[in-house]
Amino acid sequence: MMKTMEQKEVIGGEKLRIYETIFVLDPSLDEHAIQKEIEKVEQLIINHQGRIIKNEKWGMKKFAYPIKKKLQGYYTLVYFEGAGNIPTELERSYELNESCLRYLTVVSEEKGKQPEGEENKEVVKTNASPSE
Amino acid sequence: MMNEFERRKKKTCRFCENRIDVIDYKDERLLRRFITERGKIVPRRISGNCAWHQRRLTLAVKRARHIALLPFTGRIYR
Repeated sequence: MMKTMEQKEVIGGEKLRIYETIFVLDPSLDEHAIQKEIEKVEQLIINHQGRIIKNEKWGMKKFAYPIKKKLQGYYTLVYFEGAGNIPTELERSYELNESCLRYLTVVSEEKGKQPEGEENKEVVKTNASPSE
Repeated sequence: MMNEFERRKKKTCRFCENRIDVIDYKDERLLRRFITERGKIVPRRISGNCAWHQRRLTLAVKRARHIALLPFTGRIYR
């Protein structure tokens, strides 16, 4: 909790939110390249004063329908906290990245589903209060 | 006519019963129960969901479709 308070001051009153971003990478990339792409996304979040909460690698998953003639892709889900400019920046980098087949960034609304869900709820509340 | 109506078991919203207020677009198994074989979202009059949850569900299904967890269209049998 202390950490989030500090970060809030750094950004200077801008509202912080918890986001979740999911992106699908080209299945033809090798393990090393995949790791590199994931690090790139994480680095972008950190460079914009974001804080990564959790990183889930789903691994190779079959698509429900083919995308660019590919039948599967490497799914990665990243939870992070940060200001509203991060999703915009992420989107730009995803669009430029040819090996990124699909992406989705939404404001996280998971509560109580995961062990750290309770904490998430608190953070969301404290973020919501200053803007009132 | 009235009798027939009365005999029918009243459907209740599954999400209300289980007190689920966040429908996760990543929960593919849950969402699959609310789409037809051809990938359509099951209407409220069939599934019995309340309006509030149906709206949430629709959003979740559409997000899941975008990242290819769910199909836009299913298999077409001829």
